[in-house]
This record gives sequence, structure tokens and C-alpha cells, in this order.
Amino acid sequence: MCERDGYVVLFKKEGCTVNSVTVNKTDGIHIVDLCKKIKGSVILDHVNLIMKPGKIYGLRGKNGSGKTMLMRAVCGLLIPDDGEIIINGETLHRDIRFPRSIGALIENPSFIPEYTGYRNLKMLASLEGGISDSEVCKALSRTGLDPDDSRTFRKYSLGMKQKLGIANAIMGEPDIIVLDEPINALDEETVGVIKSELIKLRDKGKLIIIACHDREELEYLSDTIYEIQNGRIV
Amino acid sequence: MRTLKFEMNRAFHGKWLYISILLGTIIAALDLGLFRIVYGSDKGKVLIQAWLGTNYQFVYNSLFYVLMPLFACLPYAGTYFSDMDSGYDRNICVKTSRFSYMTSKCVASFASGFVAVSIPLLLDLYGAAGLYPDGKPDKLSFLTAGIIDSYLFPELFNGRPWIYILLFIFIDGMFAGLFAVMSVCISRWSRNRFSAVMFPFVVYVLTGVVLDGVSDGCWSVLQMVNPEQPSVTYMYQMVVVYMFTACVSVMVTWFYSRRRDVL
Amino acid sequence: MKTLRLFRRDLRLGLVDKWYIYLLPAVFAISQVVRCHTTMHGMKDFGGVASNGTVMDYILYSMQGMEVYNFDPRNPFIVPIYWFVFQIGAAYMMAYYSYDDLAVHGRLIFLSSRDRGAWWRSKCLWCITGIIVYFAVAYVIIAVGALSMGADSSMCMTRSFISSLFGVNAAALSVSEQILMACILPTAITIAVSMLQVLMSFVLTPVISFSCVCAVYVVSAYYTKWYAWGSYTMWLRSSYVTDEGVYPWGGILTSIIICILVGFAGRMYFSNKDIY
Repeated sequence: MCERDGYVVLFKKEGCTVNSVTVNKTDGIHIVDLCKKIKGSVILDHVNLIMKPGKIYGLRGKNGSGKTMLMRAVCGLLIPDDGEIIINGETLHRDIRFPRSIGALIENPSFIPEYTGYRNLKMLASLEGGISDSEVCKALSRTGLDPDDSRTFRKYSLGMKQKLGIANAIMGEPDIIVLDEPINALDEETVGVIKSELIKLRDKGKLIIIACHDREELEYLSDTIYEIQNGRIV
Repeated sequence: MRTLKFEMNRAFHGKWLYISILLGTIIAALDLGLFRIVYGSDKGKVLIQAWLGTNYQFVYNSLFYVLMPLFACLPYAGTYFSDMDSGYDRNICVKTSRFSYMTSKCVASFASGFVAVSIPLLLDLYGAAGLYPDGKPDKLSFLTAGIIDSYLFPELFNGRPWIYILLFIFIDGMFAGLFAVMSVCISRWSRNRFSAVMFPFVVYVLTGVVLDGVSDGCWSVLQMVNPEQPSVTYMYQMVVVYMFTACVSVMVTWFYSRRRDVL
Repeated sequence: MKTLRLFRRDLRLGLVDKWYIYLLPAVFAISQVVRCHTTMHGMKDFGGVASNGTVMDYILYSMQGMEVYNFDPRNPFIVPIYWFVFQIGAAYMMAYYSYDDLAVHGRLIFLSSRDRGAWWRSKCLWCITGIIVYFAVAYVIIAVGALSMGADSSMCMTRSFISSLFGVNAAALSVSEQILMACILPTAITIAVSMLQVLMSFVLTPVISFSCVCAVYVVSAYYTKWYAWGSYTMWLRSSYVTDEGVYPWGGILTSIIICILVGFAGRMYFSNKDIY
């Protein structure tokens, strides 16, 4: 149940019951009437969502439906034309510029070509502050990459680049993790590893948002799945 | 042939060609406008004094010829790098031969560079011709335009200024096309599109410093392309520089169209 | 703190990793030292100069630019090519890094740093540092080159040398005026123009913004006006040397104002910019 109109939970996991929860804006992500237009095209159209910590939320929709844009908006990368995004009680672009604790993989992961995977993550960790070298190494290992690998990012395969992007997103175990099609280009074994890592993070109370075209994987991972069409939650 | 048609279509329907022409035309218009403001309809002034390429009185001649490689490379020269970066060249190489693709790319870049530089000069010529008559330049008041007997085409300058102007527009267009081809060739080693587009400009300016006054006559392209002829240039120097650069560019293109791994 | 962390990153990626760009001011400096030495040597042979000059002579010679240009059919306008190459070298160094950083790494950087203002501030700091290092390389190499040519380490000019090349007004400058006009002012105005260029590269494109800066310098070589900012980089065009010149302290003020305005404009621009 939600006190706002237009909010629908489309799917429930089999065997689970949906508990009614009191809307508490100090907890999780509340997207209220979010609208965004780019060059006249409606990208997000009155989106209303509530996402709680300790859950995995799946986003599904056709190509160009607005999944990635919604993720960008949650990350603070897009400035909405209308509406609000409230993260743990703080309104984005009013109280805070970016969520206080977030890791994201959006579209193609892009790192410095001349640096190794470890060095890339170390540099980003130093910007963020509070992430130790061991946490960087741990994030790399968790995604199946070798922290001591001397190959530069330029020489990585597509799958390795994807893994590095995921490692960056989960590095330091942020409270919110946003993953846009993370299992693209990954081998079966790695997909299994990533899935188990995400479940572990969820069990630690992290809020995870994941977009994926693979229906089975999405239904396996997600506690709740939202369908997006033409920028609207349908 | 299809590839060439496709590349030419892409080159001439891109917005950057029009932006490049517009920027060049703005400079030309400012020059002509200022000339008109200063001299009005002074009967002593002739076409060749008002045209951008030989109007040595204002800053616009220098401005145009300094920025010429940028005007030439802006429209299409960076697209080879963009194609490699985006992986588009992989699409092409499985559908047509690499040689055909590279040749078409070079031809289209050459053509767009030629047009981007020659059109503003032609438009300025048209404007100047509408305001001032085609007459012989008065040497005393036009000492420089440099053109004393040992410079290039003095007979045309004195006897047929129109043809002198058109010839230099052609020369400028050819060099502009060459700059664009150089940019395509260097794309293979560039780290980003900006470096690829800027390479001919960097070479143009640096050789302008290094080669100026190095021997009898001038080997600097910066001086060669300017119809004002600020330095003595012999015909053979212009031909040698052009052919050398063109040959190197063509050889690089050919070599890499045969041997390159498409990753 | 975040600004400093981002700045450290920019120093590493934008300056240290691109160390080869500093070859340009080095080559410029060496070529100017050679030219100055040749000129001085020639004047010594004719008895015009008694000594090997001083470091300041070499600096003044290298950073001269060109005199105020007044149209004369016997004296066509030619862009002073050494000065031009030096200035656009700095513009080239600043042209692409920031734009590329935002386009390629913007998402990751903004999410890691979580501060749009810090990102822009670090870019401004990077720009300022880069230009200072660029000029410092040139000055240091000029000084070292001058000393190796037998010049005195004094910062006082050799009046006979300077007056025969540039006129009596130039030879009457005090040491502080020389340092202001030949060292501080060119650096300051280049910083200002570069910061403006960096901001414009986001609004227009890096190539167009670089072209605009080239145009500013070419126009500045022709016109000696307070708004033709390139004039401030040529000490020969100072009002202390020529009546038609530009006022050096006006140049310092102009640089500061431009830097502040660009800082604020950039801050506002990036506050509302969508990051893709």
C-alpha cells in the first residue's frame, strides 16, 4: 500500500506475502511524481516509487523505455524537471546533490585505459574517501577479477570491463547499489557469483536496483519488479 | 562506388560542414564589411584589394589563414576516428573492402575540406565583385600584396587579377583537402577525435615557425597558401610540399587498409 | 577536501601523464635563447653591447611578442609566429582534458565525489596549475639557457641591449615593472583565457573553443586594446613602453575578473547539467 496514487506493484515473488508498510520517508528511496523531458521528448512521466533498504528491485522494459534514465535520476546525474527523489529523508538536488552512499554501474563502464583495474578503482575510492585498499581488492575478487592483474583496462575483454564496473559499484558496500544490465557479457559462472554477491548485499540491508532483460534472472534476484513503458511505471 | 557515395552523402549532409562554411564566411564578411566602412565606394579601390585573400590591411586575412586547417578538418576529418572508436568500421569492413572504405573516407574528407575553405573565399569574391570593379592593383598603394616579379604568378596578379584570385582559391581548397586527408591518416594513432582533427593545424603552425626563412624561398605551408604571399615562394616548393604530403598520406592509407587488424 | 582529491587526480591525469606537452614551452624557450644570443652576439661584434647580457634580457627578448601594429602598406601585418605558437600551445594543453573527463568518466567521478562544485573547482585549479607550470618551464629554461650562454644571473636588464632593440622607453623600466609585464601578466592573462576556453569547450565544442582562442590571439596581435586580451601577454604593448599600449594593472584586474566570472559561471552551469 502506498499513500500516493499511481503506484503499483506489478509482480510479487511466489510464496511471499506483501506486508503493508507505513510509508516512512526517512528510509530508502521515495520517488514522487518524477518528470523529465530531454529535447522535447518525455523521458520520465510522473514516476512514483518507494524502494526500501534490504530489498532488490528489478526494472524491466523495452529498449528506450526509460530504465537507464530512471537510474540516472536516482543517482543524481539527471536533474528532474518536476517531482522529487527523497533518499533516506533527504531530497535530491535540494538537501543533497548526490545520494550519500551509492555505487552504480550505468551503461558501458568507462575507466582510464592506461591504468589497471585495481588502480582505477583505487583512484575512485580515494575520491570517495573511506574505502581501504583491502576493500578495493575484495570488490575485485568478489567479481572474479584478480587485484594483482597487471593488464591495463585497455586490454580488458568486454566481460572483464563489465566485472570491473560491478566491482566499482559494490566497492565499499554502499547503501544503494544501482546496476544497469550487469550480467550482460558475463559467463555463466560469473553470473552465479554476481547473483550470490547481490543477495549477500541485500541481506546486509542494502538497497539494490537492477535492470535486466533476462526475465528469469530478474525474477530470481528481485523482490519486486517494476515494468516501465515510455517513462511510466505501468 | 556505393561506399564512396555513402561517405560523400555523410560528409555533405553533416552539420559541421555548414558550421565550418559559416565561420569562414563570417570572417570574410567582416573583412569586406570593414573594407567598405573604411573606403566606402572609393573609385581608387579595386576587387583584388577588397578580397579577403589579398586584403592585407586588416586582421581577417591572417585570421582566416591561421584557422584554415581547422575549417578544413572540422566537417568530416574526425569521422574516421569516431568510426574506429564506436566500432562502426567493423560493420563496414565485413560488408565492403577496407581499401574501398579508406579510399572513400579520404575522398569525402578531401572534398568536404576543399568545399569548407573555398566557399567562403568564393562568397567573399562574389561580394567584393559586387562592390568594387575588377581593375589592376596600384603597386604603390599595394606594395605588398607582396607580389613582386619573383613571387608566384605576378603576371596574373598584374594582368588578370580575377584569375589570380580563382587560382589561389583552388590552391587553398587543395591544401585544405590535403589537411583533411592528413587528419584521416593520423586517426589510427590518435587517442581522441580532438587530436585527430587538430593534427594538421599543429603541423601547419609548427612548420610555419620551423621552415620559415630556412632557405631561399619559403617551405612553410602557412605562407604558401596565403594569396598575399608574405614570403617568397617558388612554384616547385609548393608542388614538392604538396606531393610529398599527399604521397605519405596515400601510402599510409593504403598500407593500413591492407594490413590493419580490425579489433 | 574533495576538491583537493579531485585536483590530485587531475594533476596526475591532466598534467603528469601529459608531460610531453611541456616540450613545447621548452622548445620555444630554447629557440628564443638561441635567437637572443645570436642577436646579442651580433651587437657585441659591432660594439653595441659590452657584456653577454643578463637573464632578464633573455626573458624580455623571448616574451616580447610584437610592437603595437599600425597599418602601413609597406609593413604588412604578420602574426608574430613564435609568440602565437607559445600561446596556442597553452590553449592546446587546456583544450580537451576537461571535456573528455566529463564525457568519458563523468558518471563515475560525480558518483564517487558526490559534489559537482568540487569537480569544477578542481578543473579550475588544474587549469591554473597547468598554465603556471607551462610558463615556469619556459622561464626556467630561458634562465638556464641564458646562464649557459654566459649571461649574468641578474634580473636587471642590459639597458644598451634593450634600448637598441626596443627603444628607450623599454630600457627605462624598473625591475618590478619588467617582472610584472614579462612574467606575471602573461601568465595571469593566459590563465584567464584558458579558464574561459575550458568553460566554452563544454558549451560549444573543444575544437570551436580552441578556434575562438586562436582568433582572440590573432586579433590581439593586430589590435592593441584592453579587450584584446592577447595584448597583455606582449610586454612591448604595455603602456609603460608605448603611449598606445595597454595598462598592465588593468590586465591583472581583467584576469582576476575573468577568472572569478568563469568560476561562478561554471559552477552554475554544472549545477544544472545532466550527466550522461
